[in-house]
Amino acid sequence: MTAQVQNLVDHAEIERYDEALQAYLRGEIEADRFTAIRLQQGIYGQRQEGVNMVRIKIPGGRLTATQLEAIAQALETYARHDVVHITTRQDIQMHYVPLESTPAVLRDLARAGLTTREACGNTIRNMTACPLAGLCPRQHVDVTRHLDGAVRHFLRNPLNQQLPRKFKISFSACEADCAQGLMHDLALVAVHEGGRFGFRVMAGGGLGHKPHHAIVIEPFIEEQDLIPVMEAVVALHNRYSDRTKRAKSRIKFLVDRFGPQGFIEKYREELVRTRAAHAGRADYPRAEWSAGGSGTVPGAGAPRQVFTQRQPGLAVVPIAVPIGNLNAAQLRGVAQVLTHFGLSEVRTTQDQNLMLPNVRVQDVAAIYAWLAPLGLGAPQPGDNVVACPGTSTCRLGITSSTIVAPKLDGGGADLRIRVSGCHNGCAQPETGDIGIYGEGKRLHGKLIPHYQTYFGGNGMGGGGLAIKGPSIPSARIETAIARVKQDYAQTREGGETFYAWVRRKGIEHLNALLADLTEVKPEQAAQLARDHGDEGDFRVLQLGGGECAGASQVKIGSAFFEAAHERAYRDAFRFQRKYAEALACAETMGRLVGQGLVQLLGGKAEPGLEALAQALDGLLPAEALGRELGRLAQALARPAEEWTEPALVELFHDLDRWTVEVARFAQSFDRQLDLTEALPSGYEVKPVHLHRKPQQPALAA
Amino acid sequence: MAYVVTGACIGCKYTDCVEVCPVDCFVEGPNFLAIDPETCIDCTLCVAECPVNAIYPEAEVPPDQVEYIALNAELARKWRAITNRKDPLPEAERWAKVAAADKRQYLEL
Repeated sequence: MTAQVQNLVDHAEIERYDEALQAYLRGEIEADRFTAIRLQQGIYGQRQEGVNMVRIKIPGGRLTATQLEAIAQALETYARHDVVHITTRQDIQMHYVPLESTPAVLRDLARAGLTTREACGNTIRNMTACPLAGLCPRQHVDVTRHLDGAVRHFLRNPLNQQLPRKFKISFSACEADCAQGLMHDLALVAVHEGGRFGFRVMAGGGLGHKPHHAIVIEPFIEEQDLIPVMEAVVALHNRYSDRTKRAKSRIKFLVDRFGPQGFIEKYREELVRTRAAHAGRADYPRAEWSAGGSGTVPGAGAPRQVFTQRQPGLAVVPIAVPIGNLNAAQLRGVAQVLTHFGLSEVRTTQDQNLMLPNVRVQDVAAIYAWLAPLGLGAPQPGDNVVACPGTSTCRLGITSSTIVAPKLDGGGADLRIRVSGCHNGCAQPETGDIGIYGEGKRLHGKLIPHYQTYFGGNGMGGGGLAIKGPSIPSARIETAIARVKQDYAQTREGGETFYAWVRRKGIEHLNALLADLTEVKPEQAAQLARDHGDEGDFRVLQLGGGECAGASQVKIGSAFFEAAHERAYRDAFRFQRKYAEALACAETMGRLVGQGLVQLLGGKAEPGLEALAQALDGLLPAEALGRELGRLAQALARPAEEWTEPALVELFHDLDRWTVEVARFAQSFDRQLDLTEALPSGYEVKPVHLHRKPQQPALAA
Repeated sequence: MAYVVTGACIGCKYTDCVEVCPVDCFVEGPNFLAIDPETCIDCTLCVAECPVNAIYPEAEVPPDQVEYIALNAELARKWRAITNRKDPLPEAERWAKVAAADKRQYLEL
């Protein structure tokens, strides 16, 4: 049976968030700083002032009845609109939450074991898995075990707190790769090769601006190497991705910069270190492996019909959720189904649907009968349509994806249609049979909403990204899609897939088929300058950009988090009695923290510890911080052979105490700074803005 | 806020920015491109595309380039939209090496 859904909550961080919010509302923290804090807790700004989107992190999309109830409860109590949205990364997000209510929402969710931590911002986002992980007859292994282990390892990990940009990871349980690894920053695919079981590792994929197909960086790794390998790719991103140009700071651009071979070499350099730091650890995620069957490949989303599980007598029941939107009554209704039929979980899927695993075959009809009054039921051919929120709530939206998507359908061939409101690819248009994203084109003096088309995408094993077609005025997109569907139906050979059909016919054929629809005559401009659902002329609101790339990072903050990562490695190396490596980590920590403080004070970030110590002494003659760093620098310069275990422990303690003193000073110098999460455990340095007690007791319950 | 093309563009006109703009907000003059601040949606895509780093968010335009903020708005009303990429100017590579501040006098209106 499937593993239990794990609790990912840290109650203390919610209280810290609440205190920061109160300080922000009192005007003691600047908007930029607070934005970074709230993004880390999964809270985005919205197109509408004063209300926010709260994104819940749901690894592998797995939820319990209690959790569905908690989401419904929070939705009813705090959100102004009765709707949650299932995302293509298997998250659930609720919109229209007033900023003041966000801590209460986080607490309600936390009581059910749900976290929003690192669902947004420059972090590792929700990890996704093939929808039938643990249930599929084809699987080599239940990858939810590995996914859960990876989530435990990376969530709140210092390495993952201030990445150059977001990072997306997927797990698939067999070579069919239903989690669509090719579009991910990092993808793990369970494989069976030459009698061995392990993972194929791909990296550098991505959609949105300049889509990239991931490259294979490891054809095969053992299960025990999973975490070091994953960490090496994250470290590679952290070290080399360009932090200054956020449009180019996803890891896919490193593949361009270094070339595939160079990228792999850089990854291997990181791996030497991560592997050494993790050496000897026996607590890696593991599960039972087997060859797996050769049955039907379920596909990237929820299965399109009831699917027979590997467990005898049990089935997966898919539930279609139009464009991923559910209200509180539906959430509660599905929770009741789980309870009534004794089911332990429901899953959100990448195609914005739900599925119920472990249903006894004889209960299937009763479950659908139970769901019908809620307006929910089995997927129907043609309804495989995915849409991002677009201009309904997203600050980046260009077109109204949620208005046009319900007008589209995939027809009898059940084509997968993916609708994004801008180029950022949240609806994953390049993986759809037909994918479209919104843009504006200036023609005859008018800005005319258009959809850029993509045809023949498939993110699964053996697939490829869709091929770019013409850009069509949004008023004609229904006609365009209907025409393509008709042509496919008429010229399809045998059971030819849409993917194969597009490649056989060639994109020139589709360009020609749609050519007349792209033409805009001067007299048509006024009529076409209107987006679906709009009364007036199309206009893209200027909202000062989105928050997807995170708020500006404070340099000393990222220095402290990097130092915290080095501290973990330092202690791992010391434990392994690799003193030279441990001392090197400690030296790096001193440099990072010292440089962070010097830069905060407007000084020059010297590379050497001695020079840094002198610089600090010059900047802060009244403090002991520079002199103490000088003393530490001398000690750290002594060869590894001279150190005994107790002396090293003492030295590292001194370094940690110094780090904490630097944090204390930095927070008193910059009163908005909060370095709490980057400090060694056992130390607490409350940020200055938090010394004032909140007016009400922070914890309601 | 909007993004602003600054002096570094003069004489180059690489037009890589035009290709990625999701709202066609660039206009074109003889040896310079400008962004229509009324149309720009701050998506940032153009910034990374510019081979000569000519594009900045309005709030971060270098002090010696601030006149380009008003100039972009003015030229956007005067010049024609450019919606497709084309070849850079013949001497773009030579002009790319000239400092932005030294190019202002060569701007053709």
